[in-house]
Amino acid sequence: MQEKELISKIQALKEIKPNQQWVSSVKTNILGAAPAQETPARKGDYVWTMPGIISLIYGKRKLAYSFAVLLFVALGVYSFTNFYSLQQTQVANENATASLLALQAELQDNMKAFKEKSVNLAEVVKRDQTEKIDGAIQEAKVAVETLTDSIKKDPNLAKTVASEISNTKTYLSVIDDEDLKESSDDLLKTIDEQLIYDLEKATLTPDQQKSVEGIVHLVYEKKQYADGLESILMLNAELNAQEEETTIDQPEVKDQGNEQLGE
Amino acid sequence: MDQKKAQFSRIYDEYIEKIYRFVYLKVSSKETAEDITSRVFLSGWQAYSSKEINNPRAFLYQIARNTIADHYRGADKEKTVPIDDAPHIAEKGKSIHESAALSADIEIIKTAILGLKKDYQDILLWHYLEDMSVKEIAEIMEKPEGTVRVMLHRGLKSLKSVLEA
Repeated sequence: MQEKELISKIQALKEIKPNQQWVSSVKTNILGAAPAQETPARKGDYVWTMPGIISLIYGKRKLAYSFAVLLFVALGVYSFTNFYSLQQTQVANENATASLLALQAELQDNMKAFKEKSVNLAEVVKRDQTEKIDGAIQEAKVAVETLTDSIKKDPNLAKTVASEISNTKTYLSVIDDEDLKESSDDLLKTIDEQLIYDLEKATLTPDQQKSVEGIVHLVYEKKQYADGLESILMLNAELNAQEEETTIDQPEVKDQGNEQLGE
Repeated sequence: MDQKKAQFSRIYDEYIEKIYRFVYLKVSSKETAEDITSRVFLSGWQAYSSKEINNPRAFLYQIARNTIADHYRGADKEKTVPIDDAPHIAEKGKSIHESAALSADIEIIKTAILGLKKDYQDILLWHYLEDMSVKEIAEIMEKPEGTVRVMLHRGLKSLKSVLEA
């Protein structure tokens, strides 16, 4: 097979196109505006003018009316089918967007519960309320596990709560409980893994790459998840600062973007 | 915000077909391709509305690559292909027979491309299907242009041997 033939086979894939109703529906869902549509012809004009036009052509008024009615019914059926299919697609997309938002809301609720229960545990220990310690540990453990489950449902959300988790985790270290430590480690490991994955995709300098290797060793080899999370957050802060510097150094960035858009 | 919305609306119109095609060629069903593509543009809009994006094309393809990777990593990874899920190709001006033949050709090339290394798949599709230059591909993949050229050559060679096997 010649190279040209091979390339033309790849180019034949251009025939793959998305369903236009789906395209409009997704756009409406994302941008919240109705898709641009042509103004439909008024039914009145359509019904009154078609027989006239057809009778002018064929000189047979009855045939013209029959044809117009048939056309009208066909258009009705076609519009109904299109409308039904559009409705189905819209419902599916609205559901997808709603489920993503629901996951974010659930994560925030679980994050709040995690903070409350961790702080509560620390206070119970500090006040030496021995009769409440078991209950507080149990509540904190459940909150940690629920939060871990939330993050596992959509690991992309890990970044949004990583810093808060790192700040809150110290409350859990006030007591030496094996079960709580196990749950807490699972939470930190889940967060670490996702953040390492994100870092591996980022553009890094050789030094930053070295730091990532160190973090990977800390998390996967030494299983020091809390230290790993702190190192990741430090590296992320460095990357953010670097990104801000780049933005400040390149004020024409916006124009470049607009040029791209204008293409 | 209205200006951003108008800009993203233009980006959407320009890239929806390309991103959908790119995703469709990497997954096994039309429904999955639609789901992933809508996620790509939803994430794209969320990011675009809050910060400046220099290169929307590179940005959207990067999200698409990550979303596809997440899909294959996730628990909802597909195990089956719906029987009625033939590729939905544009049939304007083509007979049923021609469409069926074209559909079969597309399936053959799609399967062959899926058999290649992930980076080769992306490079071949971007260069030969979406007419992206080596420089643009190098930017998206964060690799030197020379490396992309070598990968393009090797990818084409691999595709040839898969199709001839």
